Amino acid sequence: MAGPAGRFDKLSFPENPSQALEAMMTDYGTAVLRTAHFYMGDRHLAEDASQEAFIRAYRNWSSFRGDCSVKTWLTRITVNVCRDKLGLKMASEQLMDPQLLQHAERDSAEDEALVRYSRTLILKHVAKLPPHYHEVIYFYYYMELSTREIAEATGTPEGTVRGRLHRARELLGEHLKKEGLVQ
Amino acid sequence: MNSTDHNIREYFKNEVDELLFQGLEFDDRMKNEILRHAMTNQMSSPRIERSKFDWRRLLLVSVAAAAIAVMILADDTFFGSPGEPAGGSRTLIDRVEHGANEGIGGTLNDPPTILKGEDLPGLLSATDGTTWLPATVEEAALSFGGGLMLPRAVPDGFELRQIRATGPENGTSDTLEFQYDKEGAGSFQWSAHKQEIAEPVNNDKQVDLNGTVGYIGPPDDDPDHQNTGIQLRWHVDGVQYKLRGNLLEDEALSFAEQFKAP
Repeated sequence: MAGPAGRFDKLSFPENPSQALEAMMTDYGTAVLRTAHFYMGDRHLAEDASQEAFIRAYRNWSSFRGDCSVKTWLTRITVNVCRDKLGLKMASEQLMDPQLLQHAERDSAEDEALVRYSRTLILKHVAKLPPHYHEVIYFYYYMELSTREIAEATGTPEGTVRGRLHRARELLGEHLKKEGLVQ
Repeated sequence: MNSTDHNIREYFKNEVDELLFQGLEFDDRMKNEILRHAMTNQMSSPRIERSKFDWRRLLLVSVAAAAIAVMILADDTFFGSPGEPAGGSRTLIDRVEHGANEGIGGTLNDPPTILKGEDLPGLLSATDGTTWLPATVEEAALSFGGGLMLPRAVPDGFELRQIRATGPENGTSDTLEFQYDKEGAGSFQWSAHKQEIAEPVNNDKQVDLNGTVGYIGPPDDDPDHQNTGIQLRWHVDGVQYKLRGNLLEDEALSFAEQFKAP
């Protein structure tokens, strides 16, 4: 998936780091923010992590060799920033736990969110899967990264990513079959 | 991707947008804040770097001057001691050429030695810049600046043999390498390299180093694991650490787990 301006690799971005930063924020600002929110589970923490990710990207732009897409590179930086902030906590946390939904809006809004969550077709089943499948499902289905790009972005061997995606699909398929959503 | 996958993606994206990311957009406020931080970073960096450089250069010059003074005072022939037979004691030049730098590039008590980076194989990958040998761990850590974590102990029987530093200027470093060995048991080395982004890993196993994610596997130059060497990598606060050598997996993990900030 290229950015809105059709930019994909480093060569299609400005060489100047300041201009490249602006272009990266225009094309991938929301994707970086949402990926940070996926890990951090909180809007303010996600904004902090996004800011740090873009500053790191800006500082490293000249040394980035362009051996992967800018989107993958930015995703890798964002994942590293979030991992630095969370340590191993993220590995054991239910990233799509319904209890983590709508952090900023507790009380009745939370109840409403849980009702809507219970009516989802896919998300509620994804949330039931073991946490280590959430990451691969998010990057594959939501961010539309290939297994190779997921491997590069998360520092996980590609074989492991493929295995997790395969198993996650199987488990998801079992849930969907039970509800008669797929044959 | 088959049609079921396409449907899953479509539903999943809609549901995630609606429930997890509702109203979560990257806006102009965030953009301007980041641009402001980036510009501040750009303007302040040269001042900070210059300040560090001057301070460290002063330290290096002082250390070198003190070392030369010690060598001169310790060498009687420099003052031409009349009672000593000619050739009975080595001259200052002899000492530099043959004596003080015996062994593997000088002991840790020798003054810093400046070497060419490309002449030093090993973990140091940055060959642009100067490579030199800090005399002590403290000096190496000082040249690296803040953020360096150091081991609190070394595996039984191993001793620190050499420290190498590579950096843009003499006395400053962005890469450090510490080499240890043990008679009859081989050697190992660990390095610290300043880089914001962690090195990508291939098929290495993920391990927990007291809350930090590490990756362990065969060394980069031995991907099929033909030898007994091991390589362990971890990344903390903009520093990539790499441990490599003849250690058992448990030894490598134990060693890495007790790295702490000084």
